[in-house]
Amino acid sequence: MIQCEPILTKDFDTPDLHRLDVYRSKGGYRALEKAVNRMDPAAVVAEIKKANLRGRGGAGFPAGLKWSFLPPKGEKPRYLCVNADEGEPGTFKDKAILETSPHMLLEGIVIACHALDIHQVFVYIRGEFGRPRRFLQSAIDEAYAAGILGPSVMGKGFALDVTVQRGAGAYICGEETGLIESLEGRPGKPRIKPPFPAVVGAFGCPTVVNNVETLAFVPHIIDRGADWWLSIGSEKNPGTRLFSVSGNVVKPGVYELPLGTTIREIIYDVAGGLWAGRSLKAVIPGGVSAAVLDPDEIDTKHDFDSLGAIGSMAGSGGVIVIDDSTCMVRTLERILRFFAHESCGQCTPCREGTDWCYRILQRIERGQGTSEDLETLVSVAKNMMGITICVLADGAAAPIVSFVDKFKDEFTRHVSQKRCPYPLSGPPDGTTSVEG
Amino acid sequence: MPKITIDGQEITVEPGTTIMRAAERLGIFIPHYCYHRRLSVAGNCRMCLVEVETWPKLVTSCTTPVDKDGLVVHTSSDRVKHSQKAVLEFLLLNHPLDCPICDKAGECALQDLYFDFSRQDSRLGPEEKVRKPKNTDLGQQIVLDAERCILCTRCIRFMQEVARDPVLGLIERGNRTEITVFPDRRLDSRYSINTTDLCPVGALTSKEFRFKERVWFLDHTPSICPHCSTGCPVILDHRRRRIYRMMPGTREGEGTWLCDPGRLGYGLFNDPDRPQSPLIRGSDRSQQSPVDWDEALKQASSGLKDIMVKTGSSSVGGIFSNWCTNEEAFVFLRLFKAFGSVNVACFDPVQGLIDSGPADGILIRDDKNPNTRGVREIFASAKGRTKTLPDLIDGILSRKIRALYVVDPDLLGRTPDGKERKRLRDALKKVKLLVVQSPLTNETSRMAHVHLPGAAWSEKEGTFTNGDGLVQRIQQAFSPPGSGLTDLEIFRRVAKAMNLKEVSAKAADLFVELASTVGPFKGMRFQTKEQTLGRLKTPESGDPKSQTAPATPDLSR
Repeated sequence: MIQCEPILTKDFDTPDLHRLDVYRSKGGYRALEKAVNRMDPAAVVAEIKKANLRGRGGAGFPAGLKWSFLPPKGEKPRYLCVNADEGEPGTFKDKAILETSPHMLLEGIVIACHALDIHQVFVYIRGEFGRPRRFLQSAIDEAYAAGILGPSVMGKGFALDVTVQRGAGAYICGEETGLIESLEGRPGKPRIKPPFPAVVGAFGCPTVVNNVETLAFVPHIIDRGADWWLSIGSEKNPGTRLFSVSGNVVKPGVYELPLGTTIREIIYDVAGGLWAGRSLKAVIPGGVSAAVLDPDEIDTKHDFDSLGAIGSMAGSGGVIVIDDSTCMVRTLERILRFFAHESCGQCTPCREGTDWCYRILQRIERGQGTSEDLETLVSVAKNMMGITICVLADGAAAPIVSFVDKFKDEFTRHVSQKRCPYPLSGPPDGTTSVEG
Repeated sequence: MPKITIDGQEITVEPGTTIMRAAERLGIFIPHYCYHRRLSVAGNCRMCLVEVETWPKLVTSCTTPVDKDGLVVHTSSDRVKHSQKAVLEFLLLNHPLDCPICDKAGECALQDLYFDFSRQDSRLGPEEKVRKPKNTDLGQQIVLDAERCILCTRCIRFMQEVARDPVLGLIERGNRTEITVFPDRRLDSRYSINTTDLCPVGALTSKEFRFKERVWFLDHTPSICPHCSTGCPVILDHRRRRIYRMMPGTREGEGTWLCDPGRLGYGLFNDPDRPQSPLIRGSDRSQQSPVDWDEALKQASSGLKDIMVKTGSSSVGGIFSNWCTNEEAFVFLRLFKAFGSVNVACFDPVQGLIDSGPADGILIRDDKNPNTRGVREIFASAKGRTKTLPDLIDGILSRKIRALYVVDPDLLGRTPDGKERKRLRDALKKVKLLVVQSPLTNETSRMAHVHLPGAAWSEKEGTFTNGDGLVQRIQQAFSPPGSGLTDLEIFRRVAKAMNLKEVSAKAADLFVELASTVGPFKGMRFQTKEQTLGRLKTPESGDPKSQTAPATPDLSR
């Protein structure tokens, strides 16, 4: 079993942690006091940079480095956009933070703004997140009333406003420039980079875009220091993160574990293993955009570099466990239906390719596919990789290429038997529902 | 300044120049759809991918600035060719391939680039193609076929950035995306037809040209739009003595935009009521009837000579307008000099043959005539040997002038309604001999004793001087209808019939003479390969209205 005290989720069981007084009673806003009273902004940036806090949204890009890309302060204001558009299928950890400990996010936000001389924050929250939004908004209201936000943060004369903007139901608005476009009131179509948001972001101004979880870790690193943080996790992948574990496991849920925990440990030691009588067929380690792993690969450490090294990715930390009753063709078909629906449509390869792949998969799953279809599928997937403005197409191609590569015989069985060989799968009789 | 290599050719460019622009300068064609020289960059079609040595991914050449020395770019490596084929396959996947009924066929970038860069069969299986509406009315001039659309967004960017009327946008996502006009808006801009030129495929078509003619049957003649003093370069697309459409031309290698009213203005010369031969009013003075040129010229010249003999040369008046060419103005004045009459006036109202509306600072100007400046300059050079139009009319009304030779397509129609027009009409009624030289049939021509059918601007050679003083050539696309003649040829014949010194009917010869005698034109040469011959030497003084529009529009933008 993994030996590590939880950081973010330490007090998640405390009732009413979302309330300011309860959060404060657990040591909340101590780090903010430290930051504004005893650290100058540059020291805060330096600490986060030293901690090598890698972005928890999916790309794993170091947050401190991202912050340091801001050009020297000029006439234009700077903005912080908080990416709360958690949309990667299999990922539900930001939701947990927003609903359980919204003040922890706010504390991270205020520290970041103090460090970066930012006075306006936009929290771009997924439109479907009704409940998380209400929790966040009431935390913001409390923070204004308590002088944590508003014209003079912590009485220091530093003005800071936090505005919550709801999305309207587009996965692509989780991509940082798609998010900014949507925030500005346009369709969420990712921008060409460079320029990166740090230089030209929201409303033409320098902008930092950080994930909810990333910012939630900031108070802890400021409170306990980068050296403490670096002692946790694996090499170059310090700290813990929230894993969203779903699929055919006994105990799906959100678990905080150090980076570098193996996938085997996540499935069997943490999530209670597979349902009785079932065996592991595959794992998607980092949301559906990540290449699928087969059971031989589950001793891989779950961190950005180790998964990258085997051609997959840690992504958003959404671990989807697939057992032997599940049809891989149907699973991939479902994934592609998602991407075809969510492609913003601006780049030709993604606009046309995602839906083409979905239609081919639909055909194979219905027993109408041919062996040429399989070849076409993989070739089309490869043709849309690496040539688009954002990585949605790559995220759609990675599962195709890895599913077909690692589970080829399942695809050929669909073709040769002219039907899906799997009955509809679900939890075995006697297992409690996984809902809720 | 960074020095880079594209396909083995070295070029030094300003920092920030994109690979696409650098390649353009080298004459290397990188296939593209969304990129357009004079619009902002969208980078969405992914057709212009190129390989840069040591860079891991292919990059879009339209979005990638050159800011480092020594980049080595390949525009047709195997990787690039593979991606070009892939993108074309994606573009064509749901394309309806209705080329046989598509107006763009023959000048379609999807067709052309497919043949140049792909030529592979579709791998689409038994699925249906994505179907979309094929006939959506977007505005007065434009129809959208959403199935053909490749979503390059050029039309959207044009309406936003050039026409300054952002009514177009995208709705939906993925391959369900469509171009649309915003709710309660219409694509009714005076620049809307440019979107059909910009459209690389047959998604946007103009109602004017839709289903009228296959493009490969059309002949192309460069000319100048005659419908305002901006003088945009155009290409006349015509077949069998009929113009089917007017397309934007180029000036100094750079393309132009056109306004819709100007572009559609040729329609008035496709009028079946245009005179097919000279007309004269018989002895009963009631009806005009067709005659041949000898008869018409005899009638005109003997009439003029009679009056000159009876009441002197100065009893012959002439009205010449800003709708005619520099060369015609030059010859007309020479004709009157030979007549020995100074009663010749310049008719230069702002009203033209069509109304394109008020000046907008984009292309459209208030002066709706092609040659106001040129005609004024040439008249000004005939110091003291001309009259003002009101003086000329006074002369007619007081019976000092008894014959009038009018060269203008629509003298009364272009005169502001009211007192002024009434006075002019009275004058036209009063003269004993009215000769009207005009390619159109209208109130003025019907009053004529002799109607000499001149040519439309598309039926003759010559030059116009635009509001900025640019002297630009118009070229003959085809002959005037029926037995009609070019205006210069008519002048030549009139001179001959009057036993005057022979004048040339060749615009090129006349331009040489003009350039050697009329100051502001001095030094210009008539070059058949050039459309712009030069710029007038004196600053414009007279027409403050032309100042409201930018000078010759900056076409490089």
